Amino acid sequence: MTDQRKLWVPPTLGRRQLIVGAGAVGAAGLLAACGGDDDTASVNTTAPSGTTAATEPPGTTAPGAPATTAPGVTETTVPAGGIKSGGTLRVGVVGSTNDLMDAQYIVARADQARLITGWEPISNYDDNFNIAYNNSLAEEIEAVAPDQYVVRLKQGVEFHNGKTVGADDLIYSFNRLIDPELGIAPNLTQFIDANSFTKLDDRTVQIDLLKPSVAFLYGMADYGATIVPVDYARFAGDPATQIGTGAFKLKSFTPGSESVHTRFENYWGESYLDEVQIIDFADQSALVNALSSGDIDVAIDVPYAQAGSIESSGELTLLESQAGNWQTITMRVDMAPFDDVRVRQAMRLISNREEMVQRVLSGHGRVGNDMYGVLDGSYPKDFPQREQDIEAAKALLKDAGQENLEIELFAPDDTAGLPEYATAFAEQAKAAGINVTATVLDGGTYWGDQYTQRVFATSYWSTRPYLNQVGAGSLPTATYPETHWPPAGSNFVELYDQAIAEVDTDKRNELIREMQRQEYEEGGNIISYFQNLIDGHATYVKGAVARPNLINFDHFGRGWKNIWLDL
Amino acid sequence: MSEQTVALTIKDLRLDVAQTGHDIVDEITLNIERGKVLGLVGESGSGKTTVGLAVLGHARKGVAISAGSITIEGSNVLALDRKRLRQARGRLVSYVPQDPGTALNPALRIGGQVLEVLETHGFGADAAERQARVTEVFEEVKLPSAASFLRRYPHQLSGGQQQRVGLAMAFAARPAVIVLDEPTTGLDVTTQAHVLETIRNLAQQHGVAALYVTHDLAVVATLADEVAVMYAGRIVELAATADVFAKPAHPYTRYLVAAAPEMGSDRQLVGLGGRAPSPGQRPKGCAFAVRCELATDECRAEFPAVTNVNPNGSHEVRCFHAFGVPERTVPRATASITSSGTDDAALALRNVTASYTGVAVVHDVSFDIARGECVALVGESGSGKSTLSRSIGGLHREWQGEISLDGESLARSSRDRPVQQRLAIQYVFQNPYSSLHPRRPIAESIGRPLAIAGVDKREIRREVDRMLERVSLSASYGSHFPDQLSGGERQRVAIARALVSKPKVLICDEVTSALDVLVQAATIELLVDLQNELGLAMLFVTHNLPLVRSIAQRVAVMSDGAIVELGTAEDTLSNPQQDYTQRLLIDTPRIPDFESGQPA
Amino acid sequence: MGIFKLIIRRLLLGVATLFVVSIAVFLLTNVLGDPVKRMLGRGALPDVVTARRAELNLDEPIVNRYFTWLKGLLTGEPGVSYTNGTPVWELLSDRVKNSLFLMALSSAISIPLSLFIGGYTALRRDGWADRVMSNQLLVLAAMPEFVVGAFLTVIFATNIWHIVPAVSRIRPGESPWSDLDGMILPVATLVLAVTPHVGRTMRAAMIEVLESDYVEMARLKGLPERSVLWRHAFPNALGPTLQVIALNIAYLAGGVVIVESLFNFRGLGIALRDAIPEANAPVVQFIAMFIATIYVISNLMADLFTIIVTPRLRTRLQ
Repeated sequence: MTDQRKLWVPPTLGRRQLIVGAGAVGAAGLLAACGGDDDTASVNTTAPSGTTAATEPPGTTAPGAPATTAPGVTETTVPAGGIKSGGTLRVGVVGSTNDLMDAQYIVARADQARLITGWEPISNYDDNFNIAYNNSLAEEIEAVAPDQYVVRLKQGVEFHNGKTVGADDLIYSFNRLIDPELGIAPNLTQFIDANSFTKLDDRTVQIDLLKPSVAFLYGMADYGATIVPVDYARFAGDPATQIGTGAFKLKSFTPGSESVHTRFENYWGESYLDEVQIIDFADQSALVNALSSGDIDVAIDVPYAQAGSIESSGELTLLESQAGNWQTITMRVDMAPFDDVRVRQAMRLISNREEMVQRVLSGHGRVGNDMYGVLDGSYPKDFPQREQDIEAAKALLKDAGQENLEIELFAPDDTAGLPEYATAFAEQAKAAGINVTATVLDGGTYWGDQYTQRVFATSYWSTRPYLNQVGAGSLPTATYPETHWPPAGSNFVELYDQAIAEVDTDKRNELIREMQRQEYEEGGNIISYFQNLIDGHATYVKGAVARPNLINFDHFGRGWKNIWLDL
Repeated sequence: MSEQTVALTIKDLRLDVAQTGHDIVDEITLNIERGKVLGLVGESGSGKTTVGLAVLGHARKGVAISAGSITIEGSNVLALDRKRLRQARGRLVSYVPQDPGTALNPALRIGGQVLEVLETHGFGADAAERQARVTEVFEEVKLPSAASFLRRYPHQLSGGQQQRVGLAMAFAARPAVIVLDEPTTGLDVTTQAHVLETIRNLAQQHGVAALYVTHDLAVVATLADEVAVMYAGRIVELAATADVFAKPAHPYTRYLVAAAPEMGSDRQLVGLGGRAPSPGQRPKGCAFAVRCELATDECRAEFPAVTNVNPNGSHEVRCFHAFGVPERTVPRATASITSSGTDDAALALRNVTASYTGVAVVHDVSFDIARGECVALVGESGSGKSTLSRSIGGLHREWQGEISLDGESLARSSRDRPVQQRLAIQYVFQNPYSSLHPRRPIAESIGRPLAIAGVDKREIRREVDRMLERVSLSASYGSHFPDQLSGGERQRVAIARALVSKPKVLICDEVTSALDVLVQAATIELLVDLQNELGLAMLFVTHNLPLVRSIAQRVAVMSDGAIVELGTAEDTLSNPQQDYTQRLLIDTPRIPDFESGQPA
Repeated sequence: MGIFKLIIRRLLLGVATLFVVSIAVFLLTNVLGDPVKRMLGRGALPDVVTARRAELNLDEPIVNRYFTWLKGLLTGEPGVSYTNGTPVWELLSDRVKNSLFLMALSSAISIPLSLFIGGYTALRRDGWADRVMSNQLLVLAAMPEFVVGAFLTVIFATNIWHIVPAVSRIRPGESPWSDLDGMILPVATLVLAVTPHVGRTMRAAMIEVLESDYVEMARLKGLPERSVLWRHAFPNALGPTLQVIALNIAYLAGGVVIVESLFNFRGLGIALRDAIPEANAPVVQFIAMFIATIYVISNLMADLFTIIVTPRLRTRLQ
């Protein structure tokens, strides 16, 4: 069981799927965006930031030339001959006969690829993780109040069947998300119900929330918050029913085999390929083999171990994007010895983060600074990078009377990286004169009753907007209070309540910065690294840009419209 | 013996163990004329089959033909290349196997198996002619020749029919020489008699020289024109059949003749202990010397050359002491127990009917065996004699009627009988392997009945040693394992095991049928002695009629599950009252009285 | 004639076997777990769960569900995949075809090959060819399939040469014939996996036959070696080998998960592997029944062939 899970669930996927038993890799991100206390969610979720109602002119951005260039972005160069049109792109992704196709719901990565191919969300994030509309269907979203938003759709966007995208479709799409029969995003019902929507005109809808939350705003930028036509239903055999607005429309789909998507001539933006095939692979090694032998053009999600073989080939190349998935060593702030902040601080000074990136991720990641929400626009990049400092750690431990600390650090055997992280940390702790014993448990046991109860343990998370992550893990009401943050006497909860109701980005970011500062200085997480997303592709596949990203292969080339073949 | 009439000449043939170079047979020299049968006699391991196969240029795995020549119709078989040898086999010289049950291909029709010989050798002008020859040869071997019969598979034939198919295959392409390797072993006497007659006729009619390999002196005596006796890989005596039986010259031959049971005489069979040395262990001198009463230093130093001891003809022998062995034919001291009164009966059968899965195979059998009496139960295979004897021993449970021991009725299964009764009736099987635990020292096997009866260990040990001594095995044999013993020794162990519990009744089921004639004789000798000494009631089950008079006082003849004749051995075998018994006697090969000049 | 009676008798026995298997399969798939919980996750609302259970008829008594399922199976409606609502037959029909094709192709190559190798090594027993081949067979038999498959991939498809495709690429709805190139590595791997077993069995059977009296007799009759081997020895060695072949065929039909996975071959093995953890009962049940059917059929065929090459058994029927 455990081995099979490892085959299916790459280390970048969220933990909760493992807890519920290899179920959902992630429902659409709206779940995570709106409350973050259901955790069947998220392959990757989004990071909020940006303006409340930033309006960018609708339109397209030339592939490989995003409107704004964020740090860490590698440009792909457009050859002198310019972009070539035509051709079929063959994309390999791990999938199975359990694959499904739903415009708003996914379980596995293959489902995610297909969703993004066929459908587009209400809004989207730009390279700086601010809300934008260049890859989405809204023309503008106005935050009238923390509990009132007005969505105006772009004019004249066509569905695959020729129908124009309108307000009714938007309302239907929201109602579908909260449809209890479908169970796509049941937690969204705390914000909206059937009476929340008012159609102002053919392309404008006013949404009144049941309670104020800016998280809802960011949720609409999630890739899963798509607009489907009225009466849309999940795939049940007939490809003609899968109507979306994406640049490629479904021609055929066989779960566990492949889906074929052909160019949608009336797409509102620009695209280059004639056809996209999304081909299921039973496991990652077959996927990489297929790429090596030229049977596919793109391999989604390549294991670290095989990245080298792709890099060394002249015909293949890696697309490695910085991402926000993180692994952590958790210390319970309410229990000895970690109820003493000096012990927590000492532990954080023990971690050699560069070494962790090398040892655990084979170099495919970047160092962490004990804060999460790295792909959130609010992330305080200016806080000093914490480095290993054994002497300072020793001094803190001595002050706390814990210079001879002996403690057991637990890790599960079903999550690649965590046992290695725990072991490496135990070794590094020796230098500080304390004795940490890394104990690896069977995954079922680890995530069982004792999960969140252990004083010293490991865990991993996908990327969420900061506030959503706080809701999931760092509040007394959190679903998985691993560190039992915040400590008594802290004003952390009040800051959270203010921030979630603050529609002004600058003001909200100020609040978030203070929250981050508290966690940076006194928190219970040792976040040593963030993992990268790695995909492989043939060198003639152009248009995908390596930049900080939430989703593989440059957000699947935003539904492949940015991708072209230099053949 | 003119050159023109000789069909087969073997000269100085030698075969070795391929790996070690030790000789298996050596200095084999003989001739067979057209239409004549030469009997090649020897006990198992003497090398007779090896010689027989060599005539076809064939040596089994691990055996190599290393010297000599075999000439058939002018060509030396051993000098032929592969292709020519293949052409010679089946055409020039053919082979009749020992066990047609395994030598016929179970997957092929019998007609086809004969036909392929003709096809391979391009016999006849066309397919029709070959097909006609198949029909003809089936008629020659007295088999039905209808197409439906030719289409049968081997398993659809009786043993006798299978052997006739073997003959048909051998005679089909009209070879000059036929090698027959114990072809009648396992056949019942009537079938054997018919097959032998067929062989004799075919050989004569078609002028085929036959090399008949066997251990059965009686068969040789009735069939062969000449006899070659082999011992330890050498021919020790070679002469006309009458000369060999009337005036055996080599001590070994004389022992053989003395050991052969005779239907018409109740003389004591004289066995001989020991066994022939195997390849690699053969002495420089005469291989028989170690067992020979006459052996001198000369014998041990040198292997005697071939001498002709018949001034008027050819009687070759390799012995320094030819004719020197004393007369071995001793009249038997017959125990004069003839009573069959119930008072004396140790074992009494009343209306015993036994069946297999509901089908009756033994019908209403009644007879008694008195103390000190041996009753021979004879019959062909399938007559029900084994089922009956197993019912007495309680090994077969599906029977009705009454069997009583000393007047006490016995339960059907030995398991339901009290220990005393179980120990009182002992059983010796044909194959002692099955009754001796292969991984137990034999002393343990022998002592087992006593151990089960709860006898003290030291007492068991003493009894076992005594029994080993009694069956002419030294006490040191006790630590041996069954596979370290010869067949005869194993049978002695089985007898010791049967007798250790001092039984009242001993059942011997074909106990000698797997043994060579000398060993058989020695075993019979032992059984007769023991029976007299211990006053045993014995049931001796056998298909070998000539053996009967050497051991039993009375004989019960069984056919189709019923006792058809019951009387004293002498009366029954010399003056049988029933047709069935008469026919059995006629069909049983016997050594003719060559001395008094009676025809074979 | 007797043989038809036997076939009918064995067929009925096979059907009875499958019936028993169907009960076992149905019961076992019901303890895989709750598919609704898996589908909806932990946050599912109770009335949604109830509704979904009703939708899948999971609220009915198990006996009724069994007979509904059995009826569907027999009438060609084996249900709908729990995970994506696709009808099972639609989901798996290509895979059934592919698996059967893989089985047939691998068998068609490996059976004659292993019979030949077994026969040849038996004939050249203890010669150098036998030693080399027997050792190779032993090594291959001991080597896990994924090692063999990975070797072949590295050598012929990815790192050293690019002669053949590394993965199978049979398009949905297309015949496996359309991708013979892609069949090369999976078939080669399976042939290398199956041949040692059958080959060694054949070798042992052939050695026994070659030492039999009737083969010696055939040689003593002067038959050419070709005829000795093909006419006399081979048919008799085939009987014992057939049973092993039957087992291997059943294995090829559904037990080759590792090979399917390695070459991304769209067969039933992978589908079964994927369906079990999801408690996707309709898929599991269909595949299990399919494999059981192949197993029954291949054994039936083996028995029939055995009877055909064994006159003793054949004539007993008459």
